[in-house]
Amino acid sequence: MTFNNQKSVENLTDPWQAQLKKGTLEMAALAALWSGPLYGLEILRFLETKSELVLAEGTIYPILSRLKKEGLLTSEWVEAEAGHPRKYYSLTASGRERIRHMAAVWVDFSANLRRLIQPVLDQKGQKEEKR
Amino acid sequence: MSVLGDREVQLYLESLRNALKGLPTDEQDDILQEIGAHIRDRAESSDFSLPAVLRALGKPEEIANQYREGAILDHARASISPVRLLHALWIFARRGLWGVFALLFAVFGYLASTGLIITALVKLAFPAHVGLWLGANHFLLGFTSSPPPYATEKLGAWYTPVAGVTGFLLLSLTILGSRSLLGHMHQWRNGTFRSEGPVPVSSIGNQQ
Repeated sequence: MTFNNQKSVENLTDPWQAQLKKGTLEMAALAALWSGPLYGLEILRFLETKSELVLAEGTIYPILSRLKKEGLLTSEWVEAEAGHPRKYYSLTASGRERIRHMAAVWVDFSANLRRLIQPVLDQKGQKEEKR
Repeated sequence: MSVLGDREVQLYLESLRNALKGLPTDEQDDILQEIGAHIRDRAESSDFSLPAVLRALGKPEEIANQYREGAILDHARASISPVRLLHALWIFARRGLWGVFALLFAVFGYLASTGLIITALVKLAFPAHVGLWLGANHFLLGFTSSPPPYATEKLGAWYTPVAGVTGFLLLSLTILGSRSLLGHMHQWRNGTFRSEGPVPVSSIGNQQ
């Protein structure tokens, strides 16, 4: 019974989690390019190893295209020595500016939220200790 | 060309191209080449089977919609065409309540402003039938075939300039307001705004 209840609570939070991931994907894509140019699949792999952000893989490409149109990224087709050409993305100056700003806002935002949910976390810890 | 010759991959790219229609051809080619490169890389690195690679990418229509929405919004935000603005707002209206409000705002703005501008012109041809009538229980603005007997017309010849200028201002406000709403919703698009969206990869994998 308890198990069932817990399950349904998790299901309820799922769409919320999906929205949260979608909302931060843009920031994640920009952050992935901080250390240098990458092509789409490398960005996806980077996000897979550093986070669990990626939903359907195909959605990263329209996002990259939009960021490019907004002037935050540039792209270039690079012919590999062996194999096929790949489209590499890199941050523009305003892209660097943007991700720096986003990172600062994010750190503040998450620290505030952390303080907000601290009582919830504390209580959870106490409950588990009692068990 | 090993993987891209596969029938399933060809069908996938074919539906993607069909779904991308309306975008400039060079952009379509670019997108297809990029997605093709993705499929090749994923398949050749052998961490996924080919059907799994395509499932993880998501439906071609869903990918294409995201590209097309972006293009429609970009055009609309720089446009004064009611068709483009209303089309872009319509997309958001299908996604959530704020979009519906924005669409209603724009529809009301366009109807009221064009109504004012048209009656301002009609007043010149039929001065007795167009005006602003106010009475104890009457309010009538615009065109009427039979002017209400218990109300007096207040504007007279001033109707044309007053309605014309008001209509023009309202039209400008509608265009600027719609563009600005589109801009805001564009930013929220990947956040709280999209009620439907891509399916998590984990659940795609579970389907089979």
